[in-house]
Amino acid sequence: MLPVFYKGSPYLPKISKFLTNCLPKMIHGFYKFSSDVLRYARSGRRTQRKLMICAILGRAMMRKEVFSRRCAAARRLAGAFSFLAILLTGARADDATVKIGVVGAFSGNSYYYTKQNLEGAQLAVKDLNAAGGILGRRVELLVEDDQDRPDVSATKVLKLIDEGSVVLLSFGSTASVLQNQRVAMEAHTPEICGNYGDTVTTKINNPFMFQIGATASEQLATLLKFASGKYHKVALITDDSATGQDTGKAFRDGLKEAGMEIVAEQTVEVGATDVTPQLQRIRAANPEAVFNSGVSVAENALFFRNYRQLGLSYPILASGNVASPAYLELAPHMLDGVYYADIIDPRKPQLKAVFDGVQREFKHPALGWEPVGYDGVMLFANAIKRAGSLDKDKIQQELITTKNFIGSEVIEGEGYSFSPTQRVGFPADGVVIRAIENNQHGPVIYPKS
Amino acid sequence: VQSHLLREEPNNLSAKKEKNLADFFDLLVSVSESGCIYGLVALAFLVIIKPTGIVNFCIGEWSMLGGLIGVSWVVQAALPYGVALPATVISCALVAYAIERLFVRPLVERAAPMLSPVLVLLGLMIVTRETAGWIYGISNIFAPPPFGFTPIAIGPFHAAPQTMLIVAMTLTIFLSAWIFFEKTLWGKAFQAVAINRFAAGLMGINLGRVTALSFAASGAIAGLAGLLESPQTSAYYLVGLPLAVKGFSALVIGGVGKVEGALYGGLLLAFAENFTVRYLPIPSGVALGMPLLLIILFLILRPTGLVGNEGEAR
Repeated sequence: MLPVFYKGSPYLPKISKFLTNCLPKMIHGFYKFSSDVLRYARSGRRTQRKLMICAILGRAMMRKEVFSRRCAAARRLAGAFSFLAILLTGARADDATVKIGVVGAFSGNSYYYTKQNLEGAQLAVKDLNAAGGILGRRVELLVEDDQDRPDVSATKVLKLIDEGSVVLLSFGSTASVLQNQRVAMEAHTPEICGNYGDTVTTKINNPFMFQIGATASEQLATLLKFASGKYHKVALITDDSATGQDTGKAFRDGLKEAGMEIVAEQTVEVGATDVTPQLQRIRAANPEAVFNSGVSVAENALFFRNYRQLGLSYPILASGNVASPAYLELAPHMLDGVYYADIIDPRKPQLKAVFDGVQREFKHPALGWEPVGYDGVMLFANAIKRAGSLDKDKIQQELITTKNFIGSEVIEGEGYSFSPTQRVGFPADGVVIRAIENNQHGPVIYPKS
Repeated sequence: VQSHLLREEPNNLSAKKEKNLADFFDLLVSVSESGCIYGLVALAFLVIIKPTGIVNFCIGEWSMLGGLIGVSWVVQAALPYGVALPATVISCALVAYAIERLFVRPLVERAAPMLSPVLVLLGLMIVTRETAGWIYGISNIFAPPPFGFTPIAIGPFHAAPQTMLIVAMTLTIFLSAWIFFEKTLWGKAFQAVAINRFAAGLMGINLGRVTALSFAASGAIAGLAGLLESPQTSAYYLVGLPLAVKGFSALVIGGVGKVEGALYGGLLLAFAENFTVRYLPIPSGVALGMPLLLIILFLILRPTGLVGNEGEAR
């Protein structure tokens, strides 16, 4: 028996790693090599030349005399070299990049937000590569659209992992994230989601799952601190989209926990053409303030328009969704006076750099959700650098010990922190309150700097 | 800032009664607006179903196109609304006509089963939606109302000018459709094709032309509905499907027998939606499902719809 196979042997983990990681790759490489040799032997002259070019053998080898029909031996030799080169360069191409898988609802209702997330991630990758990549390797994004369908989301994550993603970013609805995180956990692949849902990381026991968006309950907590106990009877309005319901539930629970009476709770149907009955119900209940946790832009804009048309003037305290500039165009001046929780602080220089980058790269102004994607990539880059390798378990270990990582989101002076018991990286007091004035997003009014 | 947050509300009984009455009238305005839009979409369904029997769920996407094309005429081309409106309607009619010629007629001419064009049009629904998202972008686009947002008071009713425009246009369209079907020879031809397509063909009615015209008219009506609705909800590429579902529900309630059924169905659906949410003492989310319950009840109690004749096949 070899002297390495005993309990507690330091060689055992290495052997195990060799068997699980290296051996399959070697078998795959050998298979690839064999199939390439067979392909070369069976192919015609023109295809053989193409293979040679791909193999980057050097122009000298491609001279006519080398490939002359008379020089069969040299041709075979060149062929063998070419396959070796294909194998080596192919292997190097695989290993030379750090692959970050991105799954999200890049079509349908959520695309308005996920597109911004994706652009933020793409900008971060560009910045990283311009600065030399991660561990000397270029960073590559692999993007998959899950169509906002939880079942598809899990399959897409599996595909991304099979394609070599070492880490994953998820920009989808809570339902999709809850499905795909199980696949990521089984593959020991760290995953960061930019979701606001309270259930994503707080209700599941997956040490590979991290969340960087400010949860709806954190947004509400800041809104309540801002209101400083002025309200006792409030109304709550949301929409019936998956994320809207999730945010609404967090708001409802938080308001009740804060001892407030919800005198009217209304839901707007996605695709609604009028919100008058819901608003009348709110008016009939005569609340002191209205909390808005709707996330669907068209229906929320309709809510604000009908609200003003009915002449209502209760104070409105809204989720971070209202930070979208789309509202200022869709319901001009009808959001004036609305207070909302925001996850970005315009005073922050890091945020300005991201917004400028978006304008430079994508030729349009930033809309507000790009920092989620940007910070997700940068958090991974930081963890991978500290891990010193692409070992997924090591990356997870580094990610979970991240402390006060300053990104472009979060209030000035504070950053993301994770721990084994706290996988929501957004700090509890990192949300700010802003108000809309003269059809523009006003400065931060809470907390005061 | 926080000192402004607390609002004082009048709390006496007469003021409350007045408010309740005002709410009722506001709700009627809201019902008429939503009901007219649902009615127009239902009419767009009806115009195709009558002569061909094809249920075309692509109609919602034609409405969506109406909103987007209308916005591009009004905002980008800076055309006056009076010009943009017919331009949009004609554009949508041409799109619908092209779809009929390219995708539906070949199937009808090859005597394909009735489900084939329905499936083709379902596929086109997705293609149209995604193409519109690609061309116009995925963001909601603000559609400026031609007469502003400020409500106008007519007696006890307070309505935005756009609501009045929607009601006026809908009544005009329904009146025109009624005259067309009941008083013109072409309308009679449509009716004849609806009763017996084969026999109508033997009588010399050009079936291809009737089908093409029905698609073009449906596209025009759906496009108009989308254009009229866009200042209320904004124009964007995902607005089509919910409108199609509402329009089809209105048609089921109203019945396919007569033109006015589509309008009655739309108004009844909007009435059920608004009044259940406002007055039923149940959670708002549950109240949103009540109109669907109404449809089920309606189908059981009166399967031919509001204006359908007894024994008429739907």
